[in-house]
Amino acid sequence: MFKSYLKIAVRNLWRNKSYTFINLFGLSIGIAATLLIVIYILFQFSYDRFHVNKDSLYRISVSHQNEGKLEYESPVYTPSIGPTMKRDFPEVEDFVRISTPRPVFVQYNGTAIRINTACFADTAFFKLFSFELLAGNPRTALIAPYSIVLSEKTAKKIFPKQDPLNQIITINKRAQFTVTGIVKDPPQNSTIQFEALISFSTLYRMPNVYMGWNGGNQYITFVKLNRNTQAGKVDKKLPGLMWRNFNKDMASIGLVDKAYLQPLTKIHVFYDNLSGKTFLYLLIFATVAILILLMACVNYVNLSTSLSLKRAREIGVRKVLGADKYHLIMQFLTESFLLSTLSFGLSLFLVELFFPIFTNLAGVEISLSNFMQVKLALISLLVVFLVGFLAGSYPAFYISSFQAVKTLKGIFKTKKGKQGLRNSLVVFQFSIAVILIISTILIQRQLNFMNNMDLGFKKDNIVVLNLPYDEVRQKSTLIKQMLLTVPEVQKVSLCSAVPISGFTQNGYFPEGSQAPVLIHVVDADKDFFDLFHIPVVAGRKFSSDFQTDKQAYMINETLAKSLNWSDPIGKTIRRNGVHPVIGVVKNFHFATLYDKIEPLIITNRPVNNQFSTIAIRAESANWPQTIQSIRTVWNRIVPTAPFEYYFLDQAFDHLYRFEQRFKNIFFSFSLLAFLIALLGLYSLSSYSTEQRTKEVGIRKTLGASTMEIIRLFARNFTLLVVIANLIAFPISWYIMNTLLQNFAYRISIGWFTFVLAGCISLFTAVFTVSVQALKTALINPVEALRYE
Amino acid sequence: MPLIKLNHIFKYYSSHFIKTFVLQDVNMEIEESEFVTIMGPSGAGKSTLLYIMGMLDEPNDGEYYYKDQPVHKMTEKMRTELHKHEIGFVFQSYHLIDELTVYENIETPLLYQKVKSSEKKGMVADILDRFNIVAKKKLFPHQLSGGQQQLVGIARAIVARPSLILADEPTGNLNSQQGEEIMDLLTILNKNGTTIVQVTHSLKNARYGNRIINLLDGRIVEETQL
Ligand SMILES: Nc1ncnc2c1ncn2[C@@H]1O[C@H](COP(=O)(O)OP(=O)(O)OP(=O)(O)O)[C@@H](O)[C@H]1O
Ligand SMILES: [Mg+2]
Repeated sequence: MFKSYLKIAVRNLWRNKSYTFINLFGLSIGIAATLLIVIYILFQFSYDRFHVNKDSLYRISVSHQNEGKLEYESPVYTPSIGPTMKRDFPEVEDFVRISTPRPVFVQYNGTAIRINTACFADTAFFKLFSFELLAGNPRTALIAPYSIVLSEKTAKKIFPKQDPLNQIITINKRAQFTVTGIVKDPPQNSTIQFEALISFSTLYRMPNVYMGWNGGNQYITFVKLNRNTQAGKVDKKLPGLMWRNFNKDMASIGLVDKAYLQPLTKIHVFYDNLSGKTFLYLLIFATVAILILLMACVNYVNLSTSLSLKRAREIGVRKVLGADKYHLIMQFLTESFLLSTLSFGLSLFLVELFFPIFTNLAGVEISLSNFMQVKLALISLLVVFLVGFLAGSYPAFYISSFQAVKTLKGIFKTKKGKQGLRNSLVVFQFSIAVILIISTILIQRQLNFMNNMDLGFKKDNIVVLNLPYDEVRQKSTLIKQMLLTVPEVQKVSLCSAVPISGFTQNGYFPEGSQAPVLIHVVDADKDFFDLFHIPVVAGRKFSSDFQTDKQAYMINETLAKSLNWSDPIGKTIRRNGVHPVIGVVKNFHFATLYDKIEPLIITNRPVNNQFSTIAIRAESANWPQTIQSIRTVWNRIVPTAPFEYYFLDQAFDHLYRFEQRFKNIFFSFSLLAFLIALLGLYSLSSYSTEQRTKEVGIRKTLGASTMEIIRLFARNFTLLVVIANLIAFPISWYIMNTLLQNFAYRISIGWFTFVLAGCISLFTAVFTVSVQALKTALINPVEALRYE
Repeated sequence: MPLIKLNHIFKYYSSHFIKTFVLQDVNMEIEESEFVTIMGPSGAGKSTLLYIMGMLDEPNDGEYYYKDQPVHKMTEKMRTELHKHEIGFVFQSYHLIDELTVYENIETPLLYQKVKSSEKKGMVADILDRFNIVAKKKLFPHQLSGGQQQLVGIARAIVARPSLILADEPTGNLNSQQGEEIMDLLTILNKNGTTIVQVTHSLKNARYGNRIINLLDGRIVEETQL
């Protein structure tokens, strides 16, 4: 029986080649898009799952509250919480602290190499995590102070030929470390990324490193709970521990730290990146994937119910010959399953083809072979089944319920109601397409807005140099002077950081307040303001004319406002001495645009009297050459230090690369969805014109013009697209309004986007239909009449 | 117990509030193993009556008992069972399935009955042979002449050995020799117990049966027992 179903299915698909092609095309694109998104989502969820202990590992995250108000939340905390938990909680089997990654300079045999991410890590690192040691002993590698474990890639860079194990390398020109291990590079789907690990015990040997409870927030702590211990049990005990060790002392000034556990495997999707919104973004992608698939199915449903008219008689005959409804339904489902299987095959080819483009868009480096796994196979099977069923079931039930006698007498017509269903499906498709178009335009506008926003400072034409270590930093003033001799260079400023992704915070006692207030701070010399075009709105900026300016502070408008200082000049702020406020700068964005501008202090004296960054404003027609001139200056003064630079505006773009990628993916898939909707419209209109070829012929002999005939066909479809737009407008407004709330600085949605989306959808739809209509209208009427 | 019993059957079509009657107060009983012929001018309602007997159409009024079972109370499933196992229908306009070959058209009723594959092949081969169309078995309907198509339609109706054959002008498109052969075949089937109801315009063919019913404007105007 099945063989007969299959045979009929193949013949039918073959007989309606052009419609089959449209269906195949739409479905395979839909399936391919879905598979790509599934792969992407699977990859996002695969983060940190390679650890054997993944289910018992947790990261500690701390939310910092001031006077009951959440200030910020971060897993970067004091080094004390891990050991204390292990001591006090029997449930905690072990812990690992990992410092925030820092760049270091490695010297060996006269070559200097920069390692961007070196982390201090506890001995238990290799016991808890499943990073594979290629050389060295996992139990002992991180015990002794001044031990370093290098990643495979780093080891190759430093030791192209020798065996690195037990070699001595110099770091930051200060201390000597022994290489105790080589570790396989962390896979891309690892939250913990590093190029080198340094034994945590080293920290205790270093001066000025604070290891207590009241500061030094530089460490991320992971704990491993005993088997069968629920995280909730530990979470319940944490407030007590926090009270005993920290909150009790801080209660008087209103500070409360709340710690809780984050399961390791949930960190990537639920806590980190895109300010914790990854899950939301994945949800959006998944929705878009499902919508694309649905739209492709809708095309199939619309086409096959239309085409069913041609097959009505066949159904009638079969019924008379004893076919059950069941047989007929199976017959049509076989057809749709055959089509979905074929489309799936085709989509695999498309996935293969588009995978590089997709990974590039998405900014992930994954190889397809990683995903030839059971999960994907199962999901694929599900997709094939779902498509076959979704697309096939309605036509199957609809067609199999035809009344035999009517189909046989040839008086069979589709009911008006079915026309209605087809129309609503077209409206559904176009609503989705228009929603996606509007969202894409708005996302693009928001990104443009962020790129072009008045940040309160000028980010163009600024080159930033990092001063890697003390020896270089001590020569910063000399470097600055020499840089100013380069003709293209206009301004140079020494500072502790440039405004891009936020400044550090410290506790200060502003005049009149008893408790310390956490305020952002940046150290900068007097040229900082001119260089970045940051205007001073009250008082004056730092000046070399006043020796006392080394102690002076400048503040931003927000700080003045939050302290209720109407005349801030002359007020004082206490921290390691008393500092007078000499000036107020106009607000500028020193953090991401997700955040509002917060209070800021600008000091004139850097930590240890050394600036770590140089910002250069230059006007150049030939940047490579200008960079070369800057490098020459650098090499003359600090020849052995690695020269590293970046352009501030490029770094700024990099900051929003997640958003940019999100937009890229979203844009591509919206385009696909729109294409599929158009394809559906194309096939429906081609069917309806084909049906009415004879009518057109008669009308033409009666004197209808080509334009009138096009109008005849386009009217109905145009109306549908207009309705789709009207439905899409409020929905997309609601969705985008909600999404944009995440940005502290955002575009106003406005009506223009809607008009644009409406025009795009209407124009393309009318065009698609008209092409079809035109084809029919141009047929010689005699031929059209013979068509019957 | 009559095989078919029609009581006061009415069939009409209404358009613009005017009822056009196609069948008016038709009463009829057909016993098992009868060979009944329905005659009448074009538009008299013969095909309509046959459709109703074949449970493809429903009367607007009146009752139809098949083996004493009220047809109007049957579920779709029960009717399908009858189509599968008891009733064979020959259409006036053949109604072959265009996408299927001659062989496949004839095979279709057997597929729905889940006849075993080996047995099925035998049955189809037998019929092809009997109708002398073995050479055509791989052709599609549009590759056949009208008469050949009609033969295939008849072959398809009898292949599953139904106990009731409803034939709407089965020989309309056949030459006289083919027509005779078909009538002989129907006679043999009838001798073996198959009930046959045929519609025909030819008095010669009508004589093969045991009873002629004359229809005019939807009414039975004459009944002749042969
Ligand atoms: N769906 C319909 N709507 C209106 N009238 C119909 C419909 N179907 C059939 N009729 C009418 O019913 C009448 C009887 O039709 P029927 O096909 O039964 O005639 P017939 O006796 O088989 O004629 P012929 O010998 O030409 O085959 C015809 O007048 C026809 O116009
Ligand atoms: Mg007739």
